[in-house]
Amino acid sequence: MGKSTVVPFGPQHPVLPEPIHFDLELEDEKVVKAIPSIGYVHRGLEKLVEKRGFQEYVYVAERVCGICSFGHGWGYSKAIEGLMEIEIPKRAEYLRTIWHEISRLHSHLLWAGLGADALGFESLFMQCWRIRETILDIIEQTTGGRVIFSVCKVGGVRRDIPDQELKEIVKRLDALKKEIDGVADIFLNDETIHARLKGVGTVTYDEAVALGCVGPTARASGVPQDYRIGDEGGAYKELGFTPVLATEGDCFARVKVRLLELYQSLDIIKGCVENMPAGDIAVPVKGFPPAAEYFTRVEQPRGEAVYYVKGNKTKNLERFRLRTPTNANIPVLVKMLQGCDLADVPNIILTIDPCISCCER
Amino acid sequence: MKQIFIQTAAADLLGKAAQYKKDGYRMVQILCTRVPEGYELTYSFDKDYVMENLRVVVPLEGSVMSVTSQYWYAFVWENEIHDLFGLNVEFIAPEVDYGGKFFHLAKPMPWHELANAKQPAAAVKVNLRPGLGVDAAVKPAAKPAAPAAKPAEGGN
Repeated sequence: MGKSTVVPFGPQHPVLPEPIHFDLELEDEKVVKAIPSIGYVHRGLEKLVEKRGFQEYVYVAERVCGICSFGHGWGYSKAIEGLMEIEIPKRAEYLRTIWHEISRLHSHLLWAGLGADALGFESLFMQCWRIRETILDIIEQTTGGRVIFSVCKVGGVRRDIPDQELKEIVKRLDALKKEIDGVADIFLNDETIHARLKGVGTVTYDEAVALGCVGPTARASGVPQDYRIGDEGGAYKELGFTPVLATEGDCFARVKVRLLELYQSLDIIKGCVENMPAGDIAVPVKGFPPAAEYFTRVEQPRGEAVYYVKGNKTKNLERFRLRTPTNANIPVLVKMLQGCDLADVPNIILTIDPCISCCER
Repeated sequence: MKQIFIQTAAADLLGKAAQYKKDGYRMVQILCTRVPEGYELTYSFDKDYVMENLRVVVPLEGSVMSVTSQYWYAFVWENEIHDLFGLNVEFIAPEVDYGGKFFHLAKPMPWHELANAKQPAAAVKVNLRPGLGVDAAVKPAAKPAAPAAKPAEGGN
């Protein structure tokens, strides 16, 4: 038996973009146990719903996370719309889908840059974030913000995107496809990346199911779970949707799934633009949420997020709950870290794309 | 999205969770809400994108059995509920029972109080340099005292 020691990992670490802490129990260089703890950025945002009006709270929901902020605003709005039985216009559903997929591009490219940096590929990091700038420019052009969109509201969306502008966006995204090809080629074919990621942090299909994984982490193990299949909102059902899957279940497979999802998002946006319905972008919302409760879900870039709202016939909700994808992926992380080499810990943590700001709310 | 809520007794929770597992359901989340009767827990299970919710009410001084024997990964939500609400969850799988150390919080059990309940004024902790001879924990400032009576005018 090797020498036993405990190494604290995080909340501040060069490869960790977000504050999670692990006590890693090691025997020599092998991790035998990983004990997670969070709470460094717990802001009590769920509790704030008692103090803010239900329409005003959309802005708070968006600030749960700076990467998937649109999705949180959408999930919250969708939950209130379900609770109040509001049917939103088709055009608003399509616009929400476009912005959500743009968010996914933004999130996956940001993650790819961080992953490249962690692997020592600084130029690749720069290229990923350079491509991401175009996405941020499109977000700014269509919403006025670069990180927090503030275009989703209960009853629809605040802004329209003119059809001509949509066509121009598609042209810019088509040009971007070639640039994504360039970075994807390095990620998928570079020998060093293969050596660092292949066969590391492997999760089989059965383990992924048993550990309740969500998002690209589950899909990289072959679990065809993507809420865009079952989503009653957005344009996914009408456009048709098949999730991107891999079967290897290792760190490399998780990278591959995210890269292929970039292309999928580009196709979804194109499909939305080609089939964009005409008409209103919002309906008026009257009254307060009834004394009832409602669950809904959104497939965020990191996986399925669950939104719950409970009304009480006043302007304030009684309860809002958000189960984020990272929250559901902590168990698989704990399992993956058991038995790995200390040097692989950063890569394993990064490939679930943790968002602790979301996770703690 | 179809909303399915099934009221159940706390004693039946484990049996029902076992049945969901046997039927191929995935556990999606556990929700805790403080209600006047104590804690309202909602266990959500998903199959083919349809979610069923088991509803259990636990009295304020009561506890609930962990479902980690059926769904190991529920430890994240059970530890969170313990740390944020103060509800005792019994028999969490020992290797993932973090005993109140999962969330680093400035205030223990911050969500234990009922929503919109009036909170007693908390003591304000003031960090002073040592040696000042002042108690570090001071109560919130009282109402400002009435201004001292103006000195009579005209005096020298």
